[in-house]
Parts: sequence; structure tokens; C-alpha cells
Amino acid sequence: MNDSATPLPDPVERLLAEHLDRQAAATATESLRERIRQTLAADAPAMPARRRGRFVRWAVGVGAVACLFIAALSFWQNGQPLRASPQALLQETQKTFLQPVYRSYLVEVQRDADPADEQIPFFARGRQMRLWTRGDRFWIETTFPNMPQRGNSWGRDEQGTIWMTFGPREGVLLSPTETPRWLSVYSDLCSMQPDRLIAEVLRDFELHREDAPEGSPVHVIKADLKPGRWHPALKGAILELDAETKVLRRVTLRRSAGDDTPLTITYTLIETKSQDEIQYPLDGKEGKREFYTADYKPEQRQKLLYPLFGQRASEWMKPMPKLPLKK
Amino acid sequence: MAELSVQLGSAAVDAWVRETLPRAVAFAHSLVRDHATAEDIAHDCYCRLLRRADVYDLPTDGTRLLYRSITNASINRFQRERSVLSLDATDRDGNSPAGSVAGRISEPDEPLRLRELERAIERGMESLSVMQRAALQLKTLGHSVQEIADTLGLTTTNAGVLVHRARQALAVELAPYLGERAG
Repeated sequence: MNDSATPLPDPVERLLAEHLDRQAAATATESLRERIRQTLAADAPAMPARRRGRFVRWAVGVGAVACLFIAALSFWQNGQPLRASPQALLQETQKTFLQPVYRSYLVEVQRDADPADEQIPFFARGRQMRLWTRGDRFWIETTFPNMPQRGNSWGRDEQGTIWMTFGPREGVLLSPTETPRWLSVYSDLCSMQPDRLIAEVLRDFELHREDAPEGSPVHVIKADLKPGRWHPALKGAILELDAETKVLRRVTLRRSAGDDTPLTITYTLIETKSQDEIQYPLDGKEGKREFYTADYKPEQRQKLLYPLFGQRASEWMKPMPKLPLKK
Repeated sequence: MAELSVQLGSAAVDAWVRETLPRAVAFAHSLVRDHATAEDIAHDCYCRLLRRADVYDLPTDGTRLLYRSITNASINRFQRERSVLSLDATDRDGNSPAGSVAGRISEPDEPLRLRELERAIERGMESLSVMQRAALQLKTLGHSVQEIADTLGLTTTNAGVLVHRARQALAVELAPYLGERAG
């Protein structure tokens, strides 16, 4: 190989070889070595079988080839199309995110009892939550605990600001700098941005096609983390795509809350609306709804948030100390 | 990582993996232009070879087999995903391929000239087909034209033409830098 051979006579090849050297030097491979190690470790039980002799391997190999040949022949004779790879299907799904429509998913959260989190309105058990999504926009319609008479919704914008609405006239904004980590984690866990989800699944997960129920017009794809890969909150997923449109019809995410509590969240497509039929809650609301912030009517904001976050809110939203005025 | 050698029963093989892995990933990246895909390909190719470590003498023959395997896997992957693996696509870090290396070499004391050269090489490689990239990279790595032909499933003549055209195309992009090297 080049690194041990004599210098390349061609200047283009020499520049290219040096370029590859620099790229190699800038490439961190520890995690990849670990991934290879884990894959081989997973193979370990199969290793003794390999040592039984070449004949066994040969026989198994010939058998496998024969089976594949027969299966392929049967497939061809029946005139059935070959199954598309899960990657190809999800790439088709990605194209659906460009459509100018809002999709609504029913959100169901399953987790072991954890009374401490009952006060997280995003996770209020037994309450119906509905996720609306379009591109990188999303929001969730729900009913916050202790305020059943109000229509509530919350979401997070492109800048990371969490917003919540309380009825038609009031709302609060939490800037990223004042959002506590636990709240940020919970909003991550409960929301779903399909475009980001699919990109991450394609990148970091092993994908397998699963058999759909008989007569069901869906493709089912199971995603498990690749060995050696790590994801902050997603451990696995089952994605059901409409066989014809490739739209995500149902998404089941295996997540892990900050305390490693396993969590299963299911999103089921229930409705699709055009942009004319539904409006992003923050669009066209100027003058109709007041949004309280840390600077604008902070006491009103606290009044709305305390019932939702309870003790956590008191720890987090301490009143700002008043600094003495300079003379 | 002592575990890897324990699993494979050979410290020499572990050392071989440690030594060859960065260059193998860089090689795969130069073909598929996407870091995550390059890692996946390298992972699969190493696993395939390491599972047969009892058959191959990896420290001696492994590197050649590895590059052949990576080349084939990259071409397969590229052809299968041609419709989505755009050269303009961003990689996992959100960088465009052309900016990936230039982005990494961004230390203030790094010579500007080197950064420009890296960009020129990236641009030149992007302008090549995946077969041309593979042929030229293999040549750069010391493979003979016959070996390149075997790897790419071509005749020796076609492999030679592929290398020649790739080199010519890259030479156009690198023209400003070739003069100083020739001198």
C-alpha cells in the first residue's frame, strides 16, 4: 500500500494520497472500533460452530444458495415485486414532509407509575394529547391539569422558545435560557418532529421490515440502535407507513426519560388539513392574545405556571433579586 | 480495546484494525461523501473480514482485501441510493461534502494554502463518478491497474482509462498546486 510503498510518481496521485492521510488523521475511530467489537461480541456464540470444519460451512453455504435460488425462482414465477428496503421507504416518507399540509397525531404515553411527574402538564396521564406537525413546526393541543375549562396548547419554535396558550387571550413564553433542563427534556420526549426523527433513524438505527397485519395497507419498519451508537432519548422505534402515500400513519417510540425510566409513546395519524384550514397558534394572533414573558407581566406568567408545575416551578421561577440602584 | 484482540485471539489483528481503521473510513468517505455511511461501510467490511480472521492472514493481506471490500460496498451503496445520495446533500454534521474537510482544518494557524488545496481536492473528487473516484483512490493506495480492474469488475484497459480520465479531471482542478509540487 501507499504508506509503505515508494513515493507516487504522479503529482496528482501524490496530492490525493496526502489528502487521504490528512483526512485519516482527522478521523476519530474509537467509537467505530467499539461498534465493531460489540458486533463481533454479539457473534461470539456462533464462533465454535465455525470451527467444526470447512465441510460443514461448505454444506451450509451450498444449502443457503440453493434455498435462495429456489426462493428467487418462486418469487419470479409468481410475478411479485421485490420488497423495497426500509431505507428506500423512509426516503419516500421524507418527501411527504415537503407537502404544505398539517398532520395531526393522537399521542399516547405509557410509562411506569411515577407520581413525581404527574405535575408535568406535558405528560398528564389520562389526558388526550394531539400533536400537529408540518415540516419543522409542531404543537400539541391538550388540556392542562387544573384548568379543564381552557383550551391549551404548547409547542417550541425554531429558536427553542417554549410557548403555551391558556384559552384565546393568554399565553406564556419561556426563552431557552430560562427553560430548566427537565422541562426541555420532557418537551423533547413528548413532541415529535417527523423530519428530524426520520433523519436520525436513517443515520443511527438498524432498520428491518416487519410483516404488516394481513390485509393492512401499511409498511412496518422496526428501528433499533446500531451497535455502538447512542441516542440521547430514543432507544428504538416502530414506524408504520401508508403503503400508497408513504405518510407516517403510526409511530411508536421507545424513549428514556432523564432518569432512565422506559417510556413508550405512540403517535397515531388522525387527521390531515391544508394550511388554509388550520392556523399555527402563534400566527396572526398579535393583538388577540397576550404572551407573558420574563420581562412582560412576569407576575401574570407565574400565576399561570405555578398551578401547572407545582413545587418544581417554585424552585425554578424564583423572583429575581432586586439590585440596589446606583446612586 | 484489549477486548478486540481477546475476541480475535490475536494482538496483531487488533493492531491491524487500530492502524488501518482511520484511513479505511477516510477512503470510504472519499467514495460515498457521507461520514455516517462511510462508518457503516467500514464497520460491515471489518466485521466480514474479522469473522474470517482464521482464514485470512489479516496483518499481511487484510488491507488489500479491506479496500477491495470497501470499494465494492461503496459502489453498491452509491448505486442503490443514487436518487437520494446527492453530492449536494449535507452530511450528518450538516456540512456540505465540499466543506467537510475544510471545516475540520480550521485552526487559525493552519496555512490558508492548505485549506484551499483541500477544497480543490474535494471539488475535484465531487466532479468524478464513484467509479472514477474508486479507481483513482485505489491507484493512489498502491493497487496495480490489474487489481483495480479485478476490484471494479472491468477489463484492464477500461480500468486504465478510468484512472487516466479521473487523474486528468482532478489535474484541472489542482492545476494551481501542481506547478509548485513539480518544482
